[in-house]
Amino acid sequence: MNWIQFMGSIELGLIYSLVAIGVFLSFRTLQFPDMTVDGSFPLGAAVCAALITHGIHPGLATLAAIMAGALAGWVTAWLSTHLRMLNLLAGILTMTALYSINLRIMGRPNIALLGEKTILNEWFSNTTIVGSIHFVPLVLIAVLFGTLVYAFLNTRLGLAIRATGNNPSMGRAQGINDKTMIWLGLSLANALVSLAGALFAQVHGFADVTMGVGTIIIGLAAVIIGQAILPTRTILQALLACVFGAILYRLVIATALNVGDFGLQASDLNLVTAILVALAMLLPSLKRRVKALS
Amino acid sequence: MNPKVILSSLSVLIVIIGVNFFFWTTPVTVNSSPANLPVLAITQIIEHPSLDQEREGIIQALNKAGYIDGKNIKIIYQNAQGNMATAAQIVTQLLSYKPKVMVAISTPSAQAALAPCLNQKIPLVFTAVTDPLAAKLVKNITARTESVTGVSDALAVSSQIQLIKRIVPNIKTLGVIYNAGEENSTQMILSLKTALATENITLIEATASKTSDITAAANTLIGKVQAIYIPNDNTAVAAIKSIALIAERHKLPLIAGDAGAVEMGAIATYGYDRRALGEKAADLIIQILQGAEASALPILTEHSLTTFINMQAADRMGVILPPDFIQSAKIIGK
Repeated sequence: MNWIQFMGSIELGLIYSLVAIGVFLSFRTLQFPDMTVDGSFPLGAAVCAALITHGIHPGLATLAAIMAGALAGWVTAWLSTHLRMLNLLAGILTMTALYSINLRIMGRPNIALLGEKTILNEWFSNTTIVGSIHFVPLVLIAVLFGTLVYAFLNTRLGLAIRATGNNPSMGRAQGINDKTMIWLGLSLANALVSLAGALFAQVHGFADVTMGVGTIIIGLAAVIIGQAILPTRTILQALLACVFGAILYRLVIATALNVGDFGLQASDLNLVTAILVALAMLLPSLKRRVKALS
Repeated sequence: MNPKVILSSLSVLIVIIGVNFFFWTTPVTVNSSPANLPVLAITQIIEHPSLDQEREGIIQALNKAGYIDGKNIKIIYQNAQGNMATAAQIVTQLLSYKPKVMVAISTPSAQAALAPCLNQKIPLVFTAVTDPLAAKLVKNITARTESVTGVSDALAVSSQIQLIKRIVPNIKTLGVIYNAGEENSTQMILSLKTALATENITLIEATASKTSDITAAANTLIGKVQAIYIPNDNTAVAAIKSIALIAERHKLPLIAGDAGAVEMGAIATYGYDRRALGEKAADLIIQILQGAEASALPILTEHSLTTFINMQAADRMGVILPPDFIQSAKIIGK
């Protein structure tokens, strides 16, 4: 692995760290297995790309993408809390519907953004820092939104969301409206995922309706890898673990891409990725066992 | 040996393997190739018969021209297995080898490669892209300044209608099955619809977003159409066997826009030989390797069409093909 590839993986990891934080909010904080993510990631890209190509300022387009993601999360929450649908099914339904909605928004399956204005070339200079144009803006965005989520989870409202996830009946006994908390939590989670989609489209220059496939898996893998390797006793640690997990997952794929010289071929990529993740997950438990034996 | 020793040696082994994979693979590659061979990088979005054939066509043509992998050129090929984020990552990995040419097979692969290639001044050759203009790979087909060129595989709709009328002369209603999420298909269907309207043929669409939905989509057409046409759609072509089975059961002629689909059970296609398209892309690559400027090489849009027919499939669907039609065609498939 050389520097370009290393920085490319970090950039992509920073974008997906927002997905990881979103997945952390729904799966871990609210204990809600939210499958909407596979639809809200391309939704963000679709809204952002469609608006930018219609001449809307990229900042506004990104904001609209965040709102659209929040709306998608709200729909899943509504299906779950009001129609009393199984949480998994609610997310799957929203995700399925979003495929068609994304096609409607874009008017076609693929929009290219190359040469268009993006928040990256509008708000940040095009100078290369540590071998990458996008590194500094993406770090700033990840830090900004990470801090916002951290601050929010420490407000009374944020605490109420965490309480709902921990123990819904206890939360209700304390006067917390758990339905509102699920709405809020899922909207926030999907807004973050949608933002990641909008950033992906702007960094890589295109939005494609199929780009959401496997987003939930990437997000979950990032959260789990991060939590396996870093301590997650406090919210701050847990959020940092999400960011590092997302970056680490991208580095694992970058590593898997490099194993071609060991007799493996291009089609083995997903298998190698899975094995490397399994090995990474094995390390902490091995460490514990060695410690226990000594 | 006690378990503690086994465990610690195992963990040491894992760490060593991990570090090896992580840092030393690229240098090993560079050192293992004799001298510093020029690198040709290929990025492809997913494993798919037509995309694979294009790649094989490229590599065969390169071999024929004397460029042999490991001897006087190093060919590095990566496949994103359908994941766009991985496709973006593949580009940075391939660029780290400082390739002489970057080859992108499929539209999303080319889009992911474009900006980084322009940034690092690496010429980009695309193939299996239907509309390079709409995909914003180039600003203009003929006059270009950026070093991007390639092969466009847009199929003229008139040729397809001609083929359909040849097989079903008095056709009034035609069914199509495609994935509305594929740019190449939606473009094709749009122009097919307008062209058919002038011929008084009604087009009935059935869409499926994944291969498992294809059978259901095909069933909605039964009883409403006189023939089914499958455009160059990755999803529909991947499930062509299931469509063929339904067509056989209801004696409906199944016509395709892709030779691979004919091999798998459609009656006929009037389309491109994917290998030949790959060979054309290889021509562009060779010219760039020999010092030509990519922006000066024209984007290739006109290709000769070949008729491919599958006799057994025609038999099973109860279609009798005119003898002169059979004579002019390449016979493939079972």
